[in-house]
Amino acid sequence: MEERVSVLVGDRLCHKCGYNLTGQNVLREPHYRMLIVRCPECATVASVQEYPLLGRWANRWAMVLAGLCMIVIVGLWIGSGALIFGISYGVAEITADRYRSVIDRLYMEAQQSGQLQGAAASSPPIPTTIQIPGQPAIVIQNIPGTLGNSFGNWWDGQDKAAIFDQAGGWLTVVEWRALWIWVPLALAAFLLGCAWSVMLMARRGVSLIAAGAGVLFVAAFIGFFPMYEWFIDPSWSPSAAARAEISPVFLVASIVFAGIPLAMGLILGRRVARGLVWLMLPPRLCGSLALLWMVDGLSPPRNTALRT
Amino acid sequence: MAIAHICLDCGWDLARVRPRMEPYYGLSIVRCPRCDGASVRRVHPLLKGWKSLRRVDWAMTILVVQIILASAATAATVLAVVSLVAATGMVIADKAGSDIAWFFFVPLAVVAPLVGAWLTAGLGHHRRLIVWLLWIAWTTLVALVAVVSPFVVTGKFDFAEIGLGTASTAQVAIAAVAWFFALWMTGLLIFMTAAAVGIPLGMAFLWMAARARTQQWRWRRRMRRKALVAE
Repeated sequence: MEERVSVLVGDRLCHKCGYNLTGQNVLREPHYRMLIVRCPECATVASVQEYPLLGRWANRWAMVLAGLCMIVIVGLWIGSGALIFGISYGVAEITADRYRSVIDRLYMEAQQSGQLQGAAASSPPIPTTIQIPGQPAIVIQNIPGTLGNSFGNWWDGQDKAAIFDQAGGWLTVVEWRALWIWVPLALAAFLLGCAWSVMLMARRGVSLIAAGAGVLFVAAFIGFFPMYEWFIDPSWSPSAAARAEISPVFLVASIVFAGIPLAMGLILGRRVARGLVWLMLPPRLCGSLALLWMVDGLSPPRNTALRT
Repeated sequence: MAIAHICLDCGWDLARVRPRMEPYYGLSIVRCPRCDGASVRRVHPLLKGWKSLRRVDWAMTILVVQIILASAATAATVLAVVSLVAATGMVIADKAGSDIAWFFFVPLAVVAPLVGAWLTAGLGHHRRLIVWLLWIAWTTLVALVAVVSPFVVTGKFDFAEIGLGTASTAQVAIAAVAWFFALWMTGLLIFMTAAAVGIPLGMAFLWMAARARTQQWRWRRRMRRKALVAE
């Protein structure tokens, strides 16, 4: 037999139907001697030792907040990939600069050679040797009737592989100093990895690396568009022609390279964050961020010999 | 209406019972009017979560401010030492202008004490000697990257401005780095000596912050005691 012990005077919502149980009898049930309240609407038993239900709107607001967090995380994911792509694209463009100037010079020399003035349109291509100062001699094919037309028409008639080889190949025509940009790229990728490692605190090991792969995937996806443009219409300018030859390799190489510091950042990120918090914050504030230690099974920081 | 809070001894709802701050433990105690059992007024998880969020927010704010100050202090230290070294070189080469005194005054009398004050106040929770040694190592690393890397990237080592001639070979690059360390460490040690002036400034700031915190806690205790007496 349930024993009536008091009356509920505070607010408490039924966790099943949301009915406010204020005014209901607090009962001690006979089996466990536990204090309970029965909902008069749906007969659900509420154990009054638990915290009262917040109500349906609390869960709804929690879902809205979770959705906003998800949108922010997806935005940061795309932004991270875009950042890596942006720096890699810069490397890819600059590496093609030297070859662009070679092609540009060849085109100008071809226009100034004057051999095609008045030539018939049906004349065969005329091999012409161009000597640019500081470069090996390069043989181009001057096609009658094409001068005065766009660069594209002239470039389409050239033996691109031969020009590339004659210009000195990969070792000479590539602006290798652009690879210094890999230093800030590595730093940016490492910091991104650290940030993601802290944001994805519940993840470890392989799943963290998979998150990094997701960032690289976004970078590669965005990189698909300029590469498509380079391959589809590589002849509309000397820049496009040079990039079509050189830039795809360095764009892919830069994105792949960025994966290494990104992975290191993901693996070491929480350690770096813990070190930064320990270094910058006094002990009484470190406790608020103790989650950084506890998530990896470590004890939160305490005063050590280094500290005063 | 208050959230229901059941006395676990007798089942009485304590929602309408006003809690009192227990003076010994500082806990918010509710006495059951029926069985006189003591219960601690429970904080709802939502409110507990909100307070935790505010604590984390405060800690993160301080962390971000510290990082910004550390970046500013790093940049200020590197620029000040480079300025000192360059100004000294100009004086030695007899190329100094009339405003050369500022290139000594600002780094040594303004920047150095501020950096010293931040090292004392901002990183005062670590041992001072360790902090200062780490600061010397950190700024040397930053200067090595910032000052030497343009020469390495461009492949040119032009020190004509301070009379060391122009060179572009790897052997001279090594000599340039050695010169950098000699000049940098000299300038940095002078800078850090001047930064020692900032130690009392930093300690004064820490003392004022601790005093403000203590005053705040005393005021809160006074308010709570007044509320208890009024009841």
